[in-house]
Amino acid sequence: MGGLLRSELFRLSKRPMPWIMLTILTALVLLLYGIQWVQIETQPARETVGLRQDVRPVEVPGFAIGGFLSLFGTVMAIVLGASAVGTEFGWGTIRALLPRARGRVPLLLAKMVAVALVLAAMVSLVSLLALGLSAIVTGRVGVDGGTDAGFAADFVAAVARVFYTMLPYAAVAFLVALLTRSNAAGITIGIVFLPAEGILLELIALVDALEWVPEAFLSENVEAVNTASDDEAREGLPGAWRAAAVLLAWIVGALALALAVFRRRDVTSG
Amino acid sequence: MATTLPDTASVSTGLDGHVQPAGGFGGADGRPTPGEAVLRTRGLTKRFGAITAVEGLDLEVRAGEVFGFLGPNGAGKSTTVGMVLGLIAPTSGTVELFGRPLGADRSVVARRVGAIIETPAFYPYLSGRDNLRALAMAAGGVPDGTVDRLLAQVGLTERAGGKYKTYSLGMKQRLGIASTLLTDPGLVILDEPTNGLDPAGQREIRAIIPRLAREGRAVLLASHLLNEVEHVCDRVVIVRRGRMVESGSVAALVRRGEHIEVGLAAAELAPGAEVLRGLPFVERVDIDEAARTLRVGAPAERGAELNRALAGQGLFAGTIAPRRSSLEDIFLELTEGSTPGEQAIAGAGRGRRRWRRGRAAA
Repeated sequence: MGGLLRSELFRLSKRPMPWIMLTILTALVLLLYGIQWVQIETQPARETVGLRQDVRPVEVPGFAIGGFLSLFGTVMAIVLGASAVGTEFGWGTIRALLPRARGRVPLLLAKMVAVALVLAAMVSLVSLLALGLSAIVTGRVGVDGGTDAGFAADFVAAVARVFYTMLPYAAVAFLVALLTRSNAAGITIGIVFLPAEGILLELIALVDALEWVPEAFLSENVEAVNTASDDEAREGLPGAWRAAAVLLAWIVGALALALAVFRRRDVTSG
Repeated sequence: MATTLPDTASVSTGLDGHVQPAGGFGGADGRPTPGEAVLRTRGLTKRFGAITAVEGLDLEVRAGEVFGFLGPNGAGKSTTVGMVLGLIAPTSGTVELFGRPLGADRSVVARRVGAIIETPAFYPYLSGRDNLRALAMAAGGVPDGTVDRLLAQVGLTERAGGKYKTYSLGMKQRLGIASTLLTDPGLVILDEPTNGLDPAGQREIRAIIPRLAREGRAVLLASHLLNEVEHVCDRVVIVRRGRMVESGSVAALVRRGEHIEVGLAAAELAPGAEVLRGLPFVERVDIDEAARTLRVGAPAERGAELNRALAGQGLFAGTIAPRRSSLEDIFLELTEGSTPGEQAIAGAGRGRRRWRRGRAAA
C-alpha cells in the first residue's frame, strides 16, 4: 500500500484544491483575529473586555479550534473526502489507476489514509497559525496570554479532537461519492447533511420515544468531543468517551460500507 | 449474486529491485518467450441484468503478436478488456494471465499488463510527466528514468511539463501508450488507441504497435477500425453481440474472400455460370445481373483456366479480374445487422462497398 499512498499524496500535493482550501482557512483565521484586533484598538476599552479575553492564546483551543476551525474545517473535510474518490470517476482515472493497484481494498485504504493525513496537516497548520496570531494580537493590546504549564497539552488535545470530529463527515462524503460515483453529489449531500442533521434531530427529539436518536447522530457527539475539557459547555451532552465511540462507529461504518461496495462493483465507466 | 473481485497480492522483489510476480513464466527476465500464450480466456461471460455483453468467449493471445479484437460498437470488446484487467467481474468463465488465473494474483495485472481502455484518462491538473510519475508510484518498482525515457519514446519530451488538460487528442493517446509501458509489461492492451486521431496521428500509433510486438510483448488491439487492424495485426477474432463469430490469421481471412469477377453479356451469364460450376477448383458462382458479372469463388491465379473453359463453350468474357476482399468486407458480412449501432456502421460499410464495386466495374 506504500506506493499507492505515495501516489495519492503526490497527486494531492499537486492538486490546487487542498491548497485553495488551506488558503481560504488561512484567510478566514487572519480575518478573525484581524477584525478582533481592529475592534480592540478602535473601541473604548470597557466595550472590548470580552474580546480581549477571547483573543488570548489560552482561549485558542476552545475559541479558534473548537469553534471556528471545527465549523469551517468540517466543510473542507467533506470536500476533501468526496473529491478523493468522486473525481476518479469523473475524470475516468479510476480505470487507469485500478489496474495499477494490487487490489481494490489497498487502493481505497490508501485514499482514506491520504485524506486523513492531509486533513491532519491542514488542521495543525491552521491551529498553529491561530495560536501565532493570538499571541501577536495579545502582545499588541497588552493582555496577559493566560497560558500555564498545561497549555501545550490542552492545545494539542484540542487539535486532535477537532481533527477527530471531522473524520466522520469526511468518511460519509467519501462513501456518498463512491456510491454515486460523483464528486458533486458527495460534497452536496455532505454539506447539506451538516446543518440539516441538527434541524432534523431537534424535530425528532420532540417525540419523547425518540429522544435517544440525536445521541446516535453526529452533531451532538461532535460537540461533546470538542467540549471535552469544558465542563460548563458540556452540560446536557453525552459523555466525551461515549461520544467519541459513536463517532468512531460512524467512521468505521462508512468506510467499511465503502470498501464492501467497491470490492463488488464493476468499473464499467468513469 | 455479486462476485467479489480478486484482491490478493503475492509479490517478490527481484535483484534489480523490480517487483516480480510470484511464480515463473516465460524467459529468465520474466518476459514471455515468443509464441507463449500470455492471455487465455475460457468461456468468458458477462451479463448485466438481462443483457448479455459477452458470452462464452475463448481468446488466446501470444507473446510477439498483435492480436486484433474486432467488433462493432457494443459488441463487448471493452467489457472483455475490463474483465481481463479485473475492473469487471465475469459472470462465469476464466481469465488466465501468464499462465496463472487472474483471481490468484492481482499483482500480475499491476506489473505485467499495460492497458489503455477506450479514451486515455489522466489527471487534468498534472503534467504529462507527473501523470506518469503518479501511476509509476501506484504500480511500484518502476526504475528511475523510466518516465522520461518513455516520454521521449512517444515524442512528448518537449511538452512533458505541460498540463495534461492542454494536450491535443494525439498527445493524450501517446501519453496513454507511454503509460502502458511503465512497468515494461509482457501484455499491452490497447482499446481503440487511434480514436479521434487525425491521419498523421493514426499513422504514428500504427507504427508504434508492431514495434511493441517485435520487442516480445503480446499486444491485444481492440478496435472497430478495420483498416488499422488489417495493417498491424497478425491474428484477429471478430465478435458480435459478445460472441466470437470468426477467428484466424488476417492473411487467411482475407484469402478466404478472394474471388474472380468475370464480365459476360447478359444472355451469357446463366450458361457461363453453369460452365464454371463444373470446374473442380471453383467453390461457388454468384450471378450479378446488374453488373453483368459472375462472381467466381476460385483462387486469383486461375483466371486463365476460367477463360479457357468459357471459350470452349463459345462464351467470351469481356473482363476477367481477380478480386480480394478486405478485412472490412469480411467483417461487415459477419456482423452487419447486429444492433442499431452496428447497423449504422454496417450501413456505412455497405455504401463504401457499393462504391468500390462500382469503381471495380468501371
